[in-house]
Amino acid sequence: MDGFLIFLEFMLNNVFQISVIFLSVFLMLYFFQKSYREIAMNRKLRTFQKRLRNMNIAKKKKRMAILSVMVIVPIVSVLAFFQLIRSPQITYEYHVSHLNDAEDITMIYESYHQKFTKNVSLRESSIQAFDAQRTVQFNAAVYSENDMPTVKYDTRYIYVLNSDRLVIVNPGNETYPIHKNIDEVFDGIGFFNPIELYIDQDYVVVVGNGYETLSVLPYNHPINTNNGDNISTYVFVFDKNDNFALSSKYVINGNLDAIHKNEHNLLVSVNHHIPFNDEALDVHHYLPTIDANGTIDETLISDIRYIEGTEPNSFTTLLNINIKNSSYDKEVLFGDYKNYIEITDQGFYLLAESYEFIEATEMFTVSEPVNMTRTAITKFNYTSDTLNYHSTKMVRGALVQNDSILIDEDGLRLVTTEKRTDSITHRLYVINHDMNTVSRITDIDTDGHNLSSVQFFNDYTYLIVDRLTDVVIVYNLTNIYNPIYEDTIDYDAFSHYVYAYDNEHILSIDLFDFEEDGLIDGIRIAMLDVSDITSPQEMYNETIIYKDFGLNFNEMLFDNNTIVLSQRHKMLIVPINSYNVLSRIEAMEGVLIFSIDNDEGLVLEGFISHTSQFTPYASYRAIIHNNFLYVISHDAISVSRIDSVEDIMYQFSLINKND
Amino acid sequence: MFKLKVPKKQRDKFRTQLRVGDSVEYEYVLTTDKDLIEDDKINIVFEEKDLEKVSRLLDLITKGEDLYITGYNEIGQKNIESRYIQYFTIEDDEVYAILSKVRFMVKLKLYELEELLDDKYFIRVSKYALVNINKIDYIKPALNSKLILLMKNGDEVEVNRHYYKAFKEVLNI
Repeated sequence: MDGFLIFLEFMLNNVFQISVIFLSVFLMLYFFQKSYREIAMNRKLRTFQKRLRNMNIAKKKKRMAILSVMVIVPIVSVLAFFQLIRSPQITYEYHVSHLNDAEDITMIYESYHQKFTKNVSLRESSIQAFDAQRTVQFNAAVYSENDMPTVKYDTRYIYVLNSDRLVIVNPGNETYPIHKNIDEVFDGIGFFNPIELYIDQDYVVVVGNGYETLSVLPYNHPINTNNGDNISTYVFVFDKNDNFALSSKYVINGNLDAIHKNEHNLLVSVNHHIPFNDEALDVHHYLPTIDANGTIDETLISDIRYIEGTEPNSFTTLLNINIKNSSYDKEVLFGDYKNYIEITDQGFYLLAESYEFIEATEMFTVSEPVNMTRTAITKFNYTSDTLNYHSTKMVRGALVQNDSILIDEDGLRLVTTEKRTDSITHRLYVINHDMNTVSRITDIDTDGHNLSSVQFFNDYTYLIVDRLTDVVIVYNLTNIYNPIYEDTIDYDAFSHYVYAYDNEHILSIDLFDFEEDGLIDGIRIAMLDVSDITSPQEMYNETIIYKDFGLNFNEMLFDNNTIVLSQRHKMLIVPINSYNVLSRIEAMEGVLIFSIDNDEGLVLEGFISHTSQFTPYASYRAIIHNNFLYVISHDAISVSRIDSVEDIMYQFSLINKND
Repeated sequence: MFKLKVPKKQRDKFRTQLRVGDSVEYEYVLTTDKDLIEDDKINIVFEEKDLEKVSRLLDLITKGEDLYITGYNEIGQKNIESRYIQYFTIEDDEVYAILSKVRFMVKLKLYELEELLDDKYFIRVSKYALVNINKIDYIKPALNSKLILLMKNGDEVEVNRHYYKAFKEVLNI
């Protein structure tokens, strides 16, 4: 039925092409019928003449041969045509192909690019998706007290990772608080963008991107991704039992996509962009290369996989590094997965949109061709020493947004959207870790509207319909084999981002246009009582208007990791680290601290700033430890009690006195 | 029309000499074994030595008596056995009999020839042509719902749309 609808849609959108096809088919049938009639007629003539004992009958072999060709050629041509367009030059086995040589890489790219540039509607939807991503970045997970990516603590030290050094602070020693300042390992890296810091019993692991140059600043963040070939991902492992000496170092060419640590295994995903627009491109130059403690490992093209229909613009390298043994295993995909990679204890999950082009569009330049978007879910399994491809699963539609998927110990839950010319279909899939579909819902009724967000809480899935309609559809997934439609509720504060504060409360964070000028200029934070999920009630709210601080930009817009939400201490800490993107003059830098009170709501307890000096590429972070609030900036740490946050007990510099 | 029921090893030889082929529908049974005769058919039981006689008999059955048409040309007149005529045609109000390589003027009207040669398997295909079915080499459908008959002498004769149906009925097309 779907196939027929797609064909119907193609017909309506491509009247000229369909006319040509129908005319061709009509002529083919006409000549087929004419040839058949001629053969039959002459056969009758021969029979008749034989009855009259006329044995001198010429067989007309030549004419019969021509007629046979006239009959057979159209049939063979049609069969050959369909066979040709159905047989890609690269063969896929369950949506996956192994590459042979550099020619395969350029061929896949050119084929994809040709189809994509032809495909206006696809390009437009891609642009829309990109715009959406810019606004939904805020939906990244809120980190709890000790999950700040670049500031961690253990029982003895606070670890602060900056762009040029790792500072190990002993907060118990007010006289000499800096235990060790590690900066020599960063020498030789043009600019280091710290991304993740892991602390365990034996090791400190530092992960970040190194840029050879910083000639171009990305538009929305000073240290955002830059897909040039001058980026490398660095992994440093320091041995705590050897006074934080460097025990191993890995350098992978490309930009860090995702990272996860599981006991002594560090799972890393790195994306390396291939500049196909460079006429002098040598693909071999961009093959993933790993420098593991000085040993160079260059990937062979024959070891690279490509998933059918995904955007072939880069290499994605997956590494399973065993920190303890200083060994690793790797897998490489040809494709762009930076939009969604989830690494869990169950494996690597890479999601990417896979465009399936209707073959007929390859024949014509059409204004509105038909295509189908699928989401390719590729899984890799890992053990302590190995990393292996598991499978690829295709589901219909594209992820609503990066957050419309949840991967936990039960499996995957995701919601996709499929747009057609005049219809929109949303689907909810429940997939187990063997990548089998456990259940799915395909009749989600949004009355033709988009979904703006999807949230998974406990056993419930909240589908937030485009904010203009202010509708939330709720499905109960308590029994994953039989999802149940629960209710459709009407509330307008669910949009953009919600976080489960506890079982009965949801913290809702909304981007907001206070001045109603079409531009987002602030944030609205609200606490919702969802003890009755069918009737959420807003308990209180607080608004932060950037422009109060002279801002038109805020780090929170793209990096939600900066927020600290402490349930234990009932605190919400929101860093303000913003500057005018045009003047680059810092207008406000510090953290806003709110207490969460069920009666009074969000109460502003204070604002802490270390300096008003412009410090590019630095962010404020905060941690709560032993009833103390540590506010960390690029240059300093300040300490205060959580019951009087603005009274700074002491503050010390993170800059080594020798510097 | 004919069913040949003879021993297998003689079949090809008999078939060639008698100029008959097997047909599903038949009225005559030709056999050398009287036990093989069929009650509801006309049976001709013969011996091998009489093959020539049987062949002449079959000619009589299929074509009837020989019929001669008188034709004229610049040399004089000639009686032409009808089975050798490819077709008759009208040119400049005169009727001509067309043979393999020569043509003769005929003093009969075309409709008179049509009546005369009715049982000789001549068929009217247009207002201007009467065709010997046995001399049709090939039938070629034209684009305008007409048929072109390629005759054994290489000529082409058009089957007019008015005579198309009758032509098809005769040939059981």
